[in-house]
Order: sequence, then structure tokens, then C-alpha cells
Amino acid sequence: MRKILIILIFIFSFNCFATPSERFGHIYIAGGELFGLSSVRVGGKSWEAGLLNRRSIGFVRVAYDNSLYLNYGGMINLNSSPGIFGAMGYEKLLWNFLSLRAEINMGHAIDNYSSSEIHLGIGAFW
Amino acid sequence: MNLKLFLILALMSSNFAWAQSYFVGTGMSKVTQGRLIPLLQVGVDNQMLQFQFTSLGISNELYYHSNYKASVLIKKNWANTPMLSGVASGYGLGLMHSKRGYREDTDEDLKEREDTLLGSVFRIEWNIASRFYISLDSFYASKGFLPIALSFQNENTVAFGMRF
Repeated sequence: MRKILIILIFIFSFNCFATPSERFGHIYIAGGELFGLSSVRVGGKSWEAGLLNRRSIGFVRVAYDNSLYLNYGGMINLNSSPGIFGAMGYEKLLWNFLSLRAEINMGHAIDNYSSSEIHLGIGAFW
Repeated sequence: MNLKLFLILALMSSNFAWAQSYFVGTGMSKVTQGRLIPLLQVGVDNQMLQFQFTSLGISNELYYHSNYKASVLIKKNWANTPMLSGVASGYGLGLMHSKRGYREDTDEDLKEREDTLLGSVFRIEWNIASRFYISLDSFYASKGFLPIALSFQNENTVAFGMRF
């Protein structure tokens, strides 16, 4: 519990402001290595949570610069060890309710296990 | 002269007129998953571009593993983006030389292997104080046709460093 609190304090100690987002919510599903299911995330505004990659479950904040986006947040790996997670990608919007994403991500936990993947995914938002 | 030392000194002594800062970091890596492998990274950058050299390795009586990686990244500074003040990211190309040896018993000869890989690089960096940062770096090398199936050889590193 103390480790989790330290990670949360670390993440929220940055100079953060609420970002107005046009999106109320979204879902993102991605395939990774050998196109296996690697990520399932449910999001609201500038947040996403769920399976971040095959070895990480957690939550991230999302920021956009046109089509480029950045994720950062906290995660827990398969050994229940907390850590930090970062990702960067490109998102192309289709018909105002679908999106295609290509993403590079990496997480590293306190137990020194890390994981990184390249994802191709599809999102839906409303 | 030791190759690592030579490259570090060459980088540090070069006069990069465009460079806004130099940085040195140390941390750990996952080349063999879960095993603590120390690393050293040095580099120069400005608001748009970053050159970086990373060296890491481990050695004992039965095996050794050394990686040397040079990378160039296009930087994206998220400081002007709400909620991401102090965060920078980058992506680009990297060239990694890997050298490793292994034996099952100390009486045996080392079975050695080395290869050089070209791949893409991703970095995210948190400036946690005015000069200090924590960075996540990952390197994805393509070999054969595996990238078609999104399968890569990768190297992940986490570093704590200082800019000056």
C-alpha cells in the first residue's frame, strides 16, 4: 500500500491541470505482438484505465497535440508491483466516432520488471 | 582506450553550438527480464533534437552481456500542454551493438555472440526538479519479417539523471 501511495504522489506531484475534452468517453482495443489482444482501455475525457499492455493494468492521463498523443500514469504488473507507464502514439479519427491508433508504450515497475509493446488499435468514442 | 570511455569523452568534449543542455543518467535495464542491469546514458539535446548514447552490461563467471546504443530522437516538449508541464517525449532511430557470452561451467569456454541492430526508439522524460529527470527509454529492433507481426527485439531502460 505504501508503494502505491508513493507512486500516486509521484504522478500527481506534477503541475497538472484539468484538460477540457470534447470527448465524454471512449473505448480502445489494441493488438500487440502476433496481433494478440494487448490492450483494452475505457476512458473518460483525459483519462484511460484498464489493460495498458499485456503485462500492465493501470490508469493513464492522455494529452493530444493534433493527432499525436501522450499517455502517462501508474500501473501494476503481473507480480502486483506498482510502477510507471508511458506511451506515445498517433491517432487518426474516422467519421467522428471511430479512431485508429498506432502506439509505442513502456512500463516499469518497482520490482524491476518492465514491458514495452507496439500496438495497433481501434477506438470508439462518444 | 576503453570504447565506452572514449565515446563518453568524445560526446562530452564536443562543442555542439545547437545544444541547449547536456545530460547524464544512470539506472537499470531489462535486457534479461527482471535482472538488474546497471546502465549509463549521456546525451545532448535542444528543444527539437536529442542525441543519446547508452551503455549497459552485466558480467559474472558464467556469462556477460554488454549493449551499446546510439540514438537520435525528434523531441516533443509537452510543457505548453495543460497537465503535462515538465514532460517531454521523443521518437527516432537507434543503432545498438550487443555482445554476450555464456558457458554452463567455469571449465568451459565462453560461447560468444554479437550483433548489431537498427530500430526505432521511444523516450519519455519527467523533469522532477529543475535539473533532475526520470526517463523511460525503449528500443525496438526489427529482425527478419517479425515486425510484420508486431514482434520486435527490444531493450527497455529506466534512468535517473541530471541536466547541466
